[in-house]
Amino acid sequence: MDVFDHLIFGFGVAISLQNLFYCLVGVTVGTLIGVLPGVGPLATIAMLLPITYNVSAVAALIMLAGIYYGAQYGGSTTAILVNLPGETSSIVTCIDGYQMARQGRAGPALAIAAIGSFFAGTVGTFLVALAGPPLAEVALQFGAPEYFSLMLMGLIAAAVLAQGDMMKSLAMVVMGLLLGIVGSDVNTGVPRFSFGIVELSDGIGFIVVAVGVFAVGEIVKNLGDPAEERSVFDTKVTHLYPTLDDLKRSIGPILRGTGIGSFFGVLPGTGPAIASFASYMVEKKLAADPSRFGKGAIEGVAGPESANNADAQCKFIPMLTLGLPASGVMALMLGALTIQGIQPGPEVMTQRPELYGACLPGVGVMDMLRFQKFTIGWAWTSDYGSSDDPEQFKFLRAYSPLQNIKSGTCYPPTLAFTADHDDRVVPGHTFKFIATLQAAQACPNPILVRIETKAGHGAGKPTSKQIDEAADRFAFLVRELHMKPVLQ
Amino acid sequence: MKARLLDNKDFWAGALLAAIGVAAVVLARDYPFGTSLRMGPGYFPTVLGATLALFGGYFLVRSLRAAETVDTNWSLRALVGLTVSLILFGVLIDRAGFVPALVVLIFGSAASSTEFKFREVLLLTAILTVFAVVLFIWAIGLPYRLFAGF
Repeated sequence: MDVFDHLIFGFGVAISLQNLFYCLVGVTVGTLIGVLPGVGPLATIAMLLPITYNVSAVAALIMLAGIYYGAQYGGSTTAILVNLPGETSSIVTCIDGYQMARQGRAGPALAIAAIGSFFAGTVGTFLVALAGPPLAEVALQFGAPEYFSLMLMGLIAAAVLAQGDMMKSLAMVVMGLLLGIVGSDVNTGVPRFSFGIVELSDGIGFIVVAVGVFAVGEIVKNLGDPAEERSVFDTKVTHLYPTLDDLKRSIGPILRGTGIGSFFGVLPGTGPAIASFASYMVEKKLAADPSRFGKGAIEGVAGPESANNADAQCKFIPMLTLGLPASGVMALMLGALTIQGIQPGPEVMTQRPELYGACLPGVGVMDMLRFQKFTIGWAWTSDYGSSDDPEQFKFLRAYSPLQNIKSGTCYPPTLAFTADHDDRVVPGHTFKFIATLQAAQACPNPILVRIETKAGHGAGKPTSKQIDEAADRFAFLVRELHMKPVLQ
Repeated sequence: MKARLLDNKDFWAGALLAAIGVAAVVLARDYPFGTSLRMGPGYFPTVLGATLALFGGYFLVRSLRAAETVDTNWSLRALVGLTVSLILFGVLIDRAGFVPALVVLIFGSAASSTEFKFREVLLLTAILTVFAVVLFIWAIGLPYRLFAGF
């Protein structure tokens, strides 16, 4: 089968001594940094991104993936040992993992987290290879109602799985939402509850809340207890191996966690916590004795740890197949690939034009093969490269908008903007682009161009012309996106 | 009755939630509320604040009957000391640099414990500061100045 050929080819590449070495370096460095409290995978990858610049694209991706998993596992380690989640997805691990550690069972907790993660990660990898594209299609079908339902489920899960008083859990959900709206309003950009402090207009970071609630809270409580009652345990991690009973209890949670994590992983925009929360809730509901949860139940570590790894792995699906970064980490991975000259997914613009409702290209450089021949174009060759160099010609040809228009495609409604006196980006770019698009267009969507007269690239354009242009821009959008004005 | 109310868990939980909820609603009055169809920036803060205040009210009412007492084993010194040290760290790291901020943080939080031993803490501060500088500044390359403003 084709897929297996590809998989085997992939293994062949990955298993070279050099790439295994990069993987080892990535995992080791990732784990070491991920163990530091408050530094999760996102921060780790961001910090270590520069060290991948000088290696090949494959090695860079392997190393970054290694860093990612290492950091993720490092986060679980601190969650279990010191009740400090490295990132959102390991919050749930704190609940039972830390309790296990306090009972002297840190070893088995760490081991089961590793086993669960490994199993889920492996399944996730096969899923990415086998079913990536069709799964990505399914994920695209998810609209606002589906995401709303998922969000609601996550919040209810948060309240249901908490220990003790349900009313207080619900109150804390509301409290959490209230903390979450600190910062700029998504719709209007108005900074809320920021009190004029610039840092607050970005919102309150997850790490800040986690360190405050879990770490500082724990320390304050410990300091209040008389010395002999401290819950700080001996950090010696003995007998790493889980017992047979532990393993038996973990099989179900690991399998279910993998399934749950894979499901949520494919959906872009579901946070990393939702999969592990869902898994924890399922395990608690299925358990013969739910009261063990919160007191060191190994199922409460096995399930969520598998779920967050399957989730992490499947987050690659929307990224690789659609070019949509489904999480902060994936956005960084996407960036790393772009730096390496690889564009993941289909070139969304050229291969999935139907995803766009309307396009408004403005004074664009459309012909990457000839831009250096007009006016100031030669000055950009240090940025873009030049078609005069055969090597660079290949790269430019691959993404140059003009040369990638395919006849017989249904392109979205397009209104391009240029001006007759633009000597920065000569209007010819736009003319050729629009003419070629009009010839290739296979459906009734309009392909138009708006040419300003007695005007240039944009700077110094009189206000009256700017207003005219904005009016045309919005009119085109309102018409093509079928917007209906709402009277207030 | 009054003495019992003061160490009643629900009373304090209710009072805290109600205070935060009311504060959120009051602060959100500066932001346009909008309508349910077109929510303004003030819509969610107001709704959430009011909901939180209602929860607070519920716990306050419940505290009249409930008798769960506050765990007395907590130290005001630790709460204040740790919080202040952490805030100082945040303030100092930009204005005075990484090293002074760390020294204040470690010393301050150690002083929050009742078992504060000056010499031990001095040694700990020295070791941790060197460790943190080597790890975060040299190895990882975080962009903080060791000393600033001098």
